[in-house]
Amino acid sequence: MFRRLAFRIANAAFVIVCLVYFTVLVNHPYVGLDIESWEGDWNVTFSDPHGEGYRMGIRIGDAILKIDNDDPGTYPSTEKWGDAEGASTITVKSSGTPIRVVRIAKPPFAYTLLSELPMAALGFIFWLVGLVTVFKRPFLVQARAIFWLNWLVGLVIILAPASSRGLILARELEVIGFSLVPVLLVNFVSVLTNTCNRLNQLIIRALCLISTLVFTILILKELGAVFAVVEIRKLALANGLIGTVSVLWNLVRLIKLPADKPVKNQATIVLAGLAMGLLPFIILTAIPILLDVDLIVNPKISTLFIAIFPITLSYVVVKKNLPDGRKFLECIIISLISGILTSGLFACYLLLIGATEKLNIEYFLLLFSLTIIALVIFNLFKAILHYAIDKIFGTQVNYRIEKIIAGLNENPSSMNEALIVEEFVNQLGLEGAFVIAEDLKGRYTKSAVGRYLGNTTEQAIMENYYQIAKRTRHSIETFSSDFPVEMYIPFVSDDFTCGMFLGHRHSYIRFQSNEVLLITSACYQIGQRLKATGVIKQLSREINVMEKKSRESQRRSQGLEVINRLLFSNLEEEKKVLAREIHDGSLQIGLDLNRRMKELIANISTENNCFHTVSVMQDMIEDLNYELRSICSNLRPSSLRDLGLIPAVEVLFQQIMQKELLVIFLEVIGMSREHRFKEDIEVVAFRFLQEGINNVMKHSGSTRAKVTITLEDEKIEMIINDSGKGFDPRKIADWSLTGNHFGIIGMKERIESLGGELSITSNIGQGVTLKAFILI
Amino acid sequence: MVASSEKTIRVVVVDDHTLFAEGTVSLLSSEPNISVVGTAKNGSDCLKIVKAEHPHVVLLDINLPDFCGTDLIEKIKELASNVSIIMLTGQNPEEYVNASLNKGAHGFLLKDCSKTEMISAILHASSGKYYFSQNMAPYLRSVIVGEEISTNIIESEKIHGTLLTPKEIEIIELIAQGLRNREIAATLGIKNRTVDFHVSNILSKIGVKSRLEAVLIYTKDKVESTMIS
Repeated sequence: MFRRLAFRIANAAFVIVCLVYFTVLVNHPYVGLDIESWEGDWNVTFSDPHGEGYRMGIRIGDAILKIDNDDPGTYPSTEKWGDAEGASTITVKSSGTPIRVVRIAKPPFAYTLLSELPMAALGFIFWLVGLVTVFKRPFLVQARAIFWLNWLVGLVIILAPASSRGLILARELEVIGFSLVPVLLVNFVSVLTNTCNRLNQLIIRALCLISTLVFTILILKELGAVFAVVEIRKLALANGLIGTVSVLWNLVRLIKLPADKPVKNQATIVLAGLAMGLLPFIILTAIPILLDVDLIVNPKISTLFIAIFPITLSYVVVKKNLPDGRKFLECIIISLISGILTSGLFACYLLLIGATEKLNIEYFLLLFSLTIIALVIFNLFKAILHYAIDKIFGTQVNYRIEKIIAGLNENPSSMNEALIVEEFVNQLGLEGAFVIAEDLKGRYTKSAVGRYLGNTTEQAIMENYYQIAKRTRHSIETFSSDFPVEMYIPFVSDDFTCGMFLGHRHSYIRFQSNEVLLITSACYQIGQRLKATGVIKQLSREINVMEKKSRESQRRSQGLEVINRLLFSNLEEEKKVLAREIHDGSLQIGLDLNRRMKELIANISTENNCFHTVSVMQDMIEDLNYELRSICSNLRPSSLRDLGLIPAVEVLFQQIMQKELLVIFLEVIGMSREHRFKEDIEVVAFRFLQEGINNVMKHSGSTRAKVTITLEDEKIEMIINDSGKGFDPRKIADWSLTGNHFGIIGMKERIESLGGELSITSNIGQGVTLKAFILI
Repeated sequence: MVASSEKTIRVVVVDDHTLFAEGTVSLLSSEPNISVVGTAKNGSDCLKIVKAEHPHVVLLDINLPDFCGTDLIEKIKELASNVSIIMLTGQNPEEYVNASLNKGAHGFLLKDCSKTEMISAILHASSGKYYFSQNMAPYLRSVIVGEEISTNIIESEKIHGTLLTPKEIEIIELIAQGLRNREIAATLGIKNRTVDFHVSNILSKIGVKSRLEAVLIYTKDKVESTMIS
C-alpha cells in the first residue's frame, strides 16, 4: 500500500518537476560562465561553448566587472555558485578589447526547445523504462530498484538544464540527486543477485552518509554558511566514483561466477549495455574534454546513447531467457579494437598522401568516430541484405541443413538401410554415399547409393579404409580430391559401428567447416536409424522364430493332450483285453490242466515212481493258476464288471488290508451295493480310489485311511483322507513336471475328461485329502 | 445218494471257454448217473437249454460274455425255480459268494476242483443241499466273518493264539515286523501263494479283516500271555 503510494507520488513529482522546470527554462537563457574572484577581480574560469556568454564572445580569462550593473561579488548566483546565471547584462573586459556590456538575450523558443530536447528525452526515457519495468514485473525487487534508479537519474537529467541556468532550487536538487544516484545504482546491483552482500550494504551506507553530508552542506549554504561550490561538487563526484567502482567491481564479481548461475549472464549483459551506453559518450565527449580538444559533436547527442543502459537493465530484469551476454561483450571489444586499428591505418594513410598536415588526437578521434559509424552502418546493411538474400534465395547453409535434418525425421518408417541412405543423399544433394554398418552380433551390411552403386573398386577402397579407420581412429575425415569420397564420418554406439562415406556434392562445392558439424549430426542421426533398423530387424527375426516355435510347441502340446487321453483310455482297454485273454485262454487251460492232474493223481498209486513228480507238477500248475488269477485281478477286477463299483471297492480294500498294514474305513452314502453306472465311470471311479489308496500306502506313512463315496445330484463324490505326514501343497504344480506322483496326475486327466474334478488339499503334518467327483 | 442213483441227473454246463467246457463234459461222462444234456457258451444259450431240457443242475461259470453269472442265477430261477445252480469260478470267488448265495445258488466250485468234488457237488445240489469247494474254505470263512458271525469270533478272541499253527505263528511274527507277503515268502523260502493262503487263514482265525488288526490283537495277546506266564 505504502509502496504504491510512493510510486504514485514519485511519478507525479517527476511530471510536475518536468513541467515546472521546462516552462521556467524556456524563459531563461543559459549564460554558461564560471567566474572566480581573483584578488578582487572576477575572472571567467570556464565558458561553456553552448552558453550565451560564449556566444557573446566571453572567453576564459576575461574579467567580469559588473553583473546586472552591480559588483559580481554581490550577485546572488555568483556569491553562491560562482557563476553568472540569471544575469541580463554583463560588463566584461577582454584583453585587448575595450570594456563592453554584454546583454544576455532570451533565445528563441525553438532554439531552447531543440537544444534541451535531447536531455529531456533522455530523462524521460529513463523514467519511462523504469515505469515499464515495474509495471511488467511489479513483484520483483529488482524491478523496483530499477524504477527508483531510473526515476532519480531521469530527474537529475531533466534538472540538468534548469540547474545549469541556476533556477530556483534546481541546482540543490540536482546535487542531491546526483549524489544519491550511486546509492541506488549500488543498491540495484546488490539486489540483482538476490543475495545479501555485506560489503555492498556497507558501501550503500557510506554513500548515503556522503549524500547526507551534501544535503546538510546545502542546507547550511542556504542558511548563509559559505562553502566553496567545488567542494560540494567534489563530494558528489566522490560519491559517483565510489558508486561506479563498486558497481563495476560487483559486475566483475558476478561475471566470474560459475556458468550455472543465471546472474552471471545478467551481469555480462548489464556490462555490455553499460559499455554500449557509455562508449559514445566517452569517445565523443569525455576523451576530448579530458584531452582538452574541441568537441566533435554536441555532447548532448552522445549522452543520448546512455539511454541504452537503462533499457538493458530493464531488459535483463524483465526477460527471463536472455541471449548470451559474452557475445555482446565480444562484439563490442572486437568492434572497438578493429575500429581503432582501422582508423589508425586511415590516419596514417591520409598523413602519407598529404590530406592532412599533422596527426593529432582530435583528428584521430574524428576518424575513429567516423570509422565506428561506418562500421555500424556497414554491419547494419550487411545484416539486412543477408536476411533479404536468405529470404529470396535460401542459401543459408545452416538453415538448409536444419531443414534436411527435419526432413530426415519426417519419414522414419523406412526399414531399408539403402533407402535411408538414399533419402539422405538426395536431401544433401550428394553424388553418392557408401555406408557400412556392423554390430557385435555379426550383422554386417553395406549400402551403396548413387555413384558408388555397383562400383566395386571404389567400394573396396572405402571398405579398406573403414577397416583400418575402425581399428586406429574414429574421427571425421575430409579427403583430398583423389579419394573417391569427400568425407568419412564414423558413428559408434555401444556395440554398433557404422562408417559413412559421403561423396561430393553435385555442384562440387566442398563442404564448409560450419556445415561439417550439422552434416555430422545428420549422419549420427542416420547412424542411429541404421542401428535401430538393425535392432528391429534382429528382433523381428527372433520374434518370428519364437512364434514359429511356440506354434509348433502348441501344436505338439495339443497333440500330446489327445495322445495323453487316448493313452489312458487305451491303457484301460489294453488292461481289459489282456485280463480277458489271460482269463479266457491261459487260465482256463491251466484250470483244466489242474483238474486233469488231480484226476491223474487220484488214479495213480502212491507207490508209482511218477507219483511224486506228478504231484509236484500239479502243485506247480496250481501256482501258475494262482499267479494268472492275481494278474487278471490286478489288471481288471472282474468283480467291477460283474458286481459294480461298491463290491469291487470292498474287495479291493479287503485285499489291501490283508496285504498291508493299513485300515481303511469305507463309508458309502446315498447308494446301494447293487448300484451300477456306466462302465467308464465305474472304471475311473475305481481307479481313482485304487490310486488314492496306493498313494496313502506309499507316501502318507499313515495306518488309517477314510474313504467316503457319496452319490448325490447326479454325481459321485469320493473323498480319500489320511492322517499321514502330508506335503507342501505348492509342490503339486511340479508333480507333472518331475514325473513323481504321475498316477494322481493321470487320474486328474481322466476325471476331468469325464467332466469331473479332482482336488488335492494338504499341508505338512496334516495328512492329505483327495477329493473327486464324477458326473454320471 | 440212494435217491439220486435211481435216475440220471440232467446237467447243463455253461462256460464260454470251450476247452474247459469240453473237459468238464468228458470228466462227467464217466459218471453213469450224470448226463450232460447240453453245453452253453453264454447266458442266452444257457436260458434256451434250460427251457428246452429241464436240467436238474446247472454248472454255471461266473464269467460269461453276455451275463454276469450272478445275474443269470435269477434268470434261470425265473424259468425253472427248482433247478439247482452250482457256480464255477476260475478266480478269487470271495466277492461273488454272498451275491450268489443270496440269489439262490446251491454250490460254489473252484474251476480247478477235482472230479470227485465236482461230482459230489452235483449230487449235493441235485438233492437241494449246499456244497462248497474245499479250497474255498478260507474265502467262505472270511465272508461269514464279515457278514454275520463276527461277534462269535470276537468272543473267542482269547483262544485264537492257541489255534494258530506253528507255521502261522511264524508268519504272523514276521507280519508284526512289518514284512510284506512277498518278503515273508522269501524269508521262509515258500511260495507266495502259500503265504497268501496262510495270511488269509490267520486273519480268519483271529477274526479280523485287516492285517493291522491281526497284528495288534496278536501282539496284545502275546504280551498278556507272557505276563501271565
